[in-house]
Amino acid sequence: MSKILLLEPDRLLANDYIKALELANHSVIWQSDAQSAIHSIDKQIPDVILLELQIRNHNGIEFLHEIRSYTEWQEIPVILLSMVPKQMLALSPSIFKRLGIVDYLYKPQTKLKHLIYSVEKTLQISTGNLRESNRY
Amino acid sequence: MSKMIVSENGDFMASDNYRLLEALAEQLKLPFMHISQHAELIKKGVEPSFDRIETLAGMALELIDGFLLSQQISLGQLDLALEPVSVSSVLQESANKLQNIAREYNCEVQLHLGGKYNSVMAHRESLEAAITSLGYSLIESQGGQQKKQDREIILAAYRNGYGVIAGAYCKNSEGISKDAFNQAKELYGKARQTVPSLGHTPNAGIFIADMLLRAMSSRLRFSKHRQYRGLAATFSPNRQLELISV
Repeated sequence: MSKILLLEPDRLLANDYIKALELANHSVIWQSDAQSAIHSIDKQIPDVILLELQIRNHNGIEFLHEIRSYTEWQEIPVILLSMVPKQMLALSPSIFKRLGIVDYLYKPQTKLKHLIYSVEKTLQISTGNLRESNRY
Repeated sequence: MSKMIVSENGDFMASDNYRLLEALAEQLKLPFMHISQHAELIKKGVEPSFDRIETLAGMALELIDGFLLSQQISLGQLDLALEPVSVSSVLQESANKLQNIAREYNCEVQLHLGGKYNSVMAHRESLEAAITSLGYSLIESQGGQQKKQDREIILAAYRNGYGVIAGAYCKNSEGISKDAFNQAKELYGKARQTVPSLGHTPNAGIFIADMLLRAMSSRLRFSKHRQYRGLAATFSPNRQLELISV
């Protein structure tokens, strides 16, 4: 069973994502803000992080820079699951790669089954040690 | 309905109404996403919660109605007939409307009605829509907080030297301030998070409330109530009504 850290500020959306991921046999730790998420990673390193960029007090990119500053957390794959449309992100593919972002999902157009697919694909690549062939 | 203003050099600038529409569109994605995802989960065998669907759809409609009311007033399509309104009964009504959505977000809506005060001159429907939109906005933004006390939303009315204050408050102490709110007023419709220290949404409900209150010659301001911070409007009590009640 893989461990997923979900950083999602909206309680109702988080509940839906947790249910969907648990139905697919994943274990989920939910945090709604960056500081709690960092504490959570410190306790247990997740296999994948699902990250919303619009979070309280921080933005998701700041959070990513912070976790990537710790060597032991540099390899955790991150899937952006965000309300921010991709065209507004203004992040180049090289930045995606540098921050270890393996997939980007625009929430309003992402079905739960697509989220599961993305998580499982990421886990497969991660366990197959193929992360260097970043999809972005 | 919405206006685009053309500047001297021909650039289009969004009017307040248009900016509010953009913020509302962004805000409404949330309830629709919840409903859509809940339907997807039901197909996967999760027990349906019809109450949840009804509540989310109902609140989305409240927000749309509040927006339309604010537009009708600002475009002069609706004359506000001000009447003596009991602020405490309006708050009570808004609190009732917010109970179900608060339950979904694991929040608690409390009413603090301090002391005795007279009716104020207001447009009841607009005031109720303003308080409900404001409360909904705070519930959405505070629902993700971990501590129970941070998920308390207070609808309060009390009297001070300026008049009767009515508004919505929460415990998130750093989130709402005078500066943060003034900055947010410049940002709605442009930024995706108008008050990043408060929450993750564009807070369209706050600005709908502000527009409705401005139509009643009031406006939302940063306000403190006991240990809570929030946004509230001041209403001057009607002197004639005061004389009658004496």
